[in-house]
Amino acid sequence: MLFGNFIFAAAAILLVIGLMIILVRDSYFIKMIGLAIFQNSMLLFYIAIAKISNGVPPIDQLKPMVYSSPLPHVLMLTAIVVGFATLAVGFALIKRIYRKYTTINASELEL
Amino acid sequence: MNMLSHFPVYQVIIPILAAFAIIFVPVHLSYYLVILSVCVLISLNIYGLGILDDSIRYYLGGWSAPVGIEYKLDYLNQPLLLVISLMLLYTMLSVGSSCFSVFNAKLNEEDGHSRVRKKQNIKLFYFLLLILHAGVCGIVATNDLFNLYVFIEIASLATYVLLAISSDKRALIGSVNYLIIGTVGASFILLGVGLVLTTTGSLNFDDVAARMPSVIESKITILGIASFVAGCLLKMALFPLHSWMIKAYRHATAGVLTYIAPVSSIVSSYMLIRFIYFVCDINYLHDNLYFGQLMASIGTIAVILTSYRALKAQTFRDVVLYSAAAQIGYMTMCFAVNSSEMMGVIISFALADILTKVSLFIMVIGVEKSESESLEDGIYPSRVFMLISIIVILSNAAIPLSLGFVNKINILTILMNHSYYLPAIVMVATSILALEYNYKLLKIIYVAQVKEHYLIALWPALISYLVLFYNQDIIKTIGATVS
Repeated sequence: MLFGNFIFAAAAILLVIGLMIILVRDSYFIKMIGLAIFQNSMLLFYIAIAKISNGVPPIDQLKPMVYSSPLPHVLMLTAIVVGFATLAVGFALIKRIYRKYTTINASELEL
Repeated sequence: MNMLSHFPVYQVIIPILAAFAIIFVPVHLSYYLVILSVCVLISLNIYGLGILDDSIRYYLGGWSAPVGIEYKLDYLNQPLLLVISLMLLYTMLSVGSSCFSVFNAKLNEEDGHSRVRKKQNIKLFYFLLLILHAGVCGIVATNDLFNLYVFIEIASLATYVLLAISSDKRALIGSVNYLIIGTVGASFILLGVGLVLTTTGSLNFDDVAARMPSVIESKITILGIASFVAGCLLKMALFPLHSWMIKAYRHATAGVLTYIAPVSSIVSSYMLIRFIYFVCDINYLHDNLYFGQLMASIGTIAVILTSYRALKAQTFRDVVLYSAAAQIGYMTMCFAVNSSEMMGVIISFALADILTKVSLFIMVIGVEKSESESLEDGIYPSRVFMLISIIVILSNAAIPLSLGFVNKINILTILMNHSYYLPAIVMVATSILALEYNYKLLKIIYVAQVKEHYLIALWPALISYLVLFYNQDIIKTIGATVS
């Protein structure tokens, strides 16, 4: 039972770590990495809810069987792309900030 | 099957196709391409309103409802789509060229840009505007939880970049802060969707709504609803989470804000209405989870603090931004009451809000332009602009005989009927404060001596008086969609 729910706890821990990095760290670059961790905890959570014990992938099975839900996996393919796009835009903006201010630390920028 | 039967999905496809078409057309035609595609969208929306009968359902790829993605148009979202498309047309006609000039000015100050690069950047601006519009239309038209999340992200990504384009370099910091907070908010929405999916096993709004009563008592469902609502409130820029809005909008190009600021607030409140009234079991939320008291208290605190900040704010734009945040607080107060009539009032309030906000942001352009250039001899400040400003600001201050006043009276009556006395008192008190800060706006306008005739700012003010006549009908029609 403990190990059955462990993956949800892991997702929650990742979520908190990500939020913590976003809130505590000063550099925007590291904040973006925190954001990536935060988003990836969602991916882990979705993959975890799809799993059924003894479930198999619903691929090329001829006889009736218990299978894991393929829906969350498909949803997460989209979420991965969205997360990638967000990070790309974020880093592009940070690069631009660096070019204008020659620093990417939040404390030095908020003047 | 004729072509027009696919019109619900055209609302999303046309802006996307037009956005990609812009890459291939000559730069001087791209402006007209945007106008053309928006006009097509508006005519489709009017057609949709004409044939609307209870609701229109459209299944993407022919996969029927719970399996595939469904688009559903009813009396709540079809008029909203029309309003949003009209907003884009209005923005393009009124300030499209001024955004253009900001873009050119920005590019001129940066060395090393060739002429080709400059053209590409102007195209990029229209591309982003159309992608944002596609995302917003998708949020409003869809009937699927995950599809909603994807469109939120599409719209947000375009918004981050549009807000970063400004002659002021501080806009970049505001934009990157908005990116971080906005992504956290969208992730909370994603988490909520996932938790609701675990208990109901579905993503379709109607399907989830049908299964909701049997699982609403599960803590997982309640957590899911809570994180979805938290994400929506973050996107809406409600008080404790409003700082991103102020920071991102403070240094952004005012021309872009005339579209982004009103549309993002009305769309996020639409999202919340759709989820609370059509997906969740609204009665359970009110009876067992103190949803009403929660929204009333958050809204009350938000209204008090943002009104105070608006009083303390110095520049024209800051006062406008904090007053916009206060309007969002009033809207949140409305969610405290569980009645279908209130939903109509929220939409009507949001409509009045966007009509005044558009005009206010056009005035921001005028004021800031006149602050940067000194008045030469022989050129007198525009009196017409003064007159328009007075009409718009009176409407924003909710003076009697304006749409804002009628809506506030409606909200006040309903709050009193449901014995929310403290929010009602706060509402009256902050409305008196609103007079004070709107008076400050008038003073700034008077000092600023705006030269140019921003006659186009008059349109929304006039439309708001038109809406005043049909206000009761709007509230009744929208209220009837729930049941």
